[in-house]
Amino acid sequence: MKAKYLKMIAAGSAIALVAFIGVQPAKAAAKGSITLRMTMWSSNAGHLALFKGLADEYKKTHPEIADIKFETLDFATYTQALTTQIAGGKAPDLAWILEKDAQQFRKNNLLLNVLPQMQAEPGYKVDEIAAGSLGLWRAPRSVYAYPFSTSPFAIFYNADLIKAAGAEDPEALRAKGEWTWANAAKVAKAVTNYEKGNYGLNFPTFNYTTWNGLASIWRGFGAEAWNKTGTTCTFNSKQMNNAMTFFHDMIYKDKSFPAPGVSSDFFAGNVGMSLIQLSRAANLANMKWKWGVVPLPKGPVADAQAIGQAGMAVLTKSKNRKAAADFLVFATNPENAAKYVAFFPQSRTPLMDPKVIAKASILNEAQAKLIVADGISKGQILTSHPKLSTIELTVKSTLDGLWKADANISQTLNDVCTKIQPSLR
Amino acid sequence: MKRKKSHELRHWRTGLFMAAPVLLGFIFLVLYPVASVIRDSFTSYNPLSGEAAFIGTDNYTRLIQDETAIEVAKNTLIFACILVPVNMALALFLAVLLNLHFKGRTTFRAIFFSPVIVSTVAWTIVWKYILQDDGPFNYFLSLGGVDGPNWLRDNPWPMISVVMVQVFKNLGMNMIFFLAALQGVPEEMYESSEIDGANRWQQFKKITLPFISPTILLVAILTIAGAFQVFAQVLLLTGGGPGLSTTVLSYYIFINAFQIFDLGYASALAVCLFAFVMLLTVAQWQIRTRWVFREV
Repeated sequence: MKAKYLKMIAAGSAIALVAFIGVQPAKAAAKGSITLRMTMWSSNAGHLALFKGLADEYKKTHPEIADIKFETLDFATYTQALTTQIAGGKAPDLAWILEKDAQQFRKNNLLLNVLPQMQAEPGYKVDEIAAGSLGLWRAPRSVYAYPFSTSPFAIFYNADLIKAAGAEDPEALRAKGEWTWANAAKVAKAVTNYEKGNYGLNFPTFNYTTWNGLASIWRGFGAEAWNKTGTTCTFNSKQMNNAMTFFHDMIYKDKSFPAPGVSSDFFAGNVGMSLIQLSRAANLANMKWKWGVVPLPKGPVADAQAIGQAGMAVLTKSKNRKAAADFLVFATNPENAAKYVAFFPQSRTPLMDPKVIAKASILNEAQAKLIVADGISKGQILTSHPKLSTIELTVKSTLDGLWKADANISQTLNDVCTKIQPSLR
Repeated sequence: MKRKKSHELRHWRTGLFMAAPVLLGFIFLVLYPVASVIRDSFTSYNPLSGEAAFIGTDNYTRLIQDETAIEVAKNTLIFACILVPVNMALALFLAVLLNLHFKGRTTFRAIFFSPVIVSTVAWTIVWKYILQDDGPFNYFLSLGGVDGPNWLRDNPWPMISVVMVQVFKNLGMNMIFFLAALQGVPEEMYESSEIDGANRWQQFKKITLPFISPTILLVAILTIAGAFQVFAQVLLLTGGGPGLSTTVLSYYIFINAFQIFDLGYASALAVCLFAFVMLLTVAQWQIRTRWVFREV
C-alpha cells in the first residue's frame, strides 16, 4: 500500500515538473554562464586595452557573461591558426577576419549574419557605415562582419634618418608632385647603409609570405593578380613583370629592401621608410626621432592606393552565437566605434572626418585627410578570391622563385599562372 | 571439466579487465582515428563547411596524378635518406666515445641528451634565429672570412638545415639506446679477443656490432618512422619553402587539410604515408634475421 502511494506521488511530481518546465518562458542565460572568446592578430597593448575596456563595460550590464577573452594569434599564420581551430571543433565565438579571407569564409558559411541584431539595437545606425567599406561583408539583407579597420597602406618614414643620408624628404617630394616609386627607391637607396644595418624600405606584413600585400606596389604599375571576375590569371602581364622587376631590383641591386631572412624594425630607428598601415603605426607616438607619413607613391601607370581591411565577425560555429552577436553590436555601436579611431581608421562617416581622426590618433589633420579620408575614398581593398585557400599557397611557393638574386622574373610569373589558372576557372 | 572451464573464463575475464585501459586507449586513440581517416579518404570532406560527399577512389586517382605530391614524396625520401644514416652513425659514434672511461663523461652524456627534453618548438625557433641570413651562425663564419649562404632560403641548404636541426634534436635519445646496449656487451668477449690478437676495429666489427644489433634494429625502426613524420621543424624553419624544396609529406597533408581544407585528399595522402611506413617497418622486421645477431 505504502509503495503504491509512493509511486503515485512520484508520478504526480514528475507530471507537475514536466508541466512546470513546459509553461516556463525561455529564460535568459544564467549569471556568469557564458565565456566569449575572440581571436585577433594584434598584441599591441593599446589595442588589447581598448577591447578589454569594452569587455569590462559590457559585463557590467550583462551578468550572464562571465568573461570575454581575447586571444592573439601570429599575423603571418593567423588564418591558418583560426581555420585549424574551426576545423578542430574549437571555433572562437568572435574573430577578426582579414579582407583576403572574406569571400572564402562567406562561401563556407562561417560568418553569422549580424544585420538583425544591428537593426534591433537602438541608435546603431548601420547606414552610417560607408557602403564601399561594407562591400566584402554585405549581401542583400545580410551583414557578415563589422569592418572595424579600413586602413590605407601608407609610407611612414624616419625623417631624421633620411635627412642624415642627404636624401629628399618624402613629404617634400609629394608636395612637388614627384612622389613616385622611382623616387622612393632613390630615397631608400640613399638611406641604405649595410655597415650600420640601415635599410631604405621595409614591409613588415609582407615578410615574403603574405604576397597579396604586394598589391600596394604592383597596382601603381597597373598590375593585378587576376582579372576582375577572378577567372583569368594576370600575374604574367607586362605590368606585373615591370612591378616585380622594380621590387626585385630594390632587394638585390640596391639592397635597400631587406632580403628574405634578414630582420629589420622600423620602430628601432634603422629603416628609412616602412610600408605599413595606420593601424600598425601606434608605436610612433613614443619615438624620439622625427617621423612623417605620405600616401603610397605614384607608379608609372597609376596613382593607386591600397587598403587593408579587417572585419569583426561572429562565427556560425560558435556555441554562443547570440551572446557573441550582442557583444559585437555593443562593441561596434557609434559610441564605441569612436574609441577605435585612435588605432584603426573607421568606416562610419562621422568618424572619417580628419578633425575627429587628428584628435584621436597620431596623425595631424592634414595627414588624416591625406592618408585616411583620401586614402579610403581613392583606394582599393587588397586582393581577395573565393578560392583563395587553393591558390594562396601555390602562388607563395612559386613566387619563392623570385626571391633570389639571379631570379628569372618573367618565367616565375608565367609559372604562377600555369599553376593557378586551372583553379581560377 | 566444468570447473576448469569456469576457472579459465575467470582468468580470461581478469586478463581482459587488466588489459582494458590499454585496449580502450588503442581502440579510441588509434583504431578509431585510423578508421576515420580511411573513411574520409573516400570523401570530399571540407572541414570548414562540414560538407562531405562519397567520391569513391577519386582522391587516390588524383594522388597518382598530382605532380606536387610526387615532388613532396621525393623530398620526404631525401629527408629520410639523409637523416637516418647521419643520425644513427653520429649516435653510435657518440655512444662508443661516451662509453669510454674518462673524467666528465657523465656531463658530456647530459649535454648531448639535453636537446631531447627541450620542446621541439622552442628548439626549432632558436635554430631559426641562429640560421637566418644575418644570424649568429653566419656572423661566426664571417669571423673566419667565410660568407655563409642564407641557410633557410638558398638551395640546397634549407633541406640540409632542416635535417641537421632534427638530427641534433633526437641524437641524444638514440645515443642513450646505443650506450645501454654497449654496456650489455660482456667484457670477457673483448678480453678473449685481445688474447687472440684482435685489434680495436675487429673487436667493434665482430663483437660490438653483432651484440648491439637488436638495438640497431630498434633505433632504425624508430628513426625511419620518425623521419616520415617530421612536421614542426618544416613548419617553423622554412614553411616548406623555398618553393616546395622542404615540403615533406606530413606537412603537405597538413596544408591540404587545414589550408586548402581538402580533408578528403589529405586523408588519402595520410593513408598512403601510413601504409608506406607500415610496409617499411614490416620489411625491416622480416629481414632482421639476416643481420640481427640475437633477439632480446
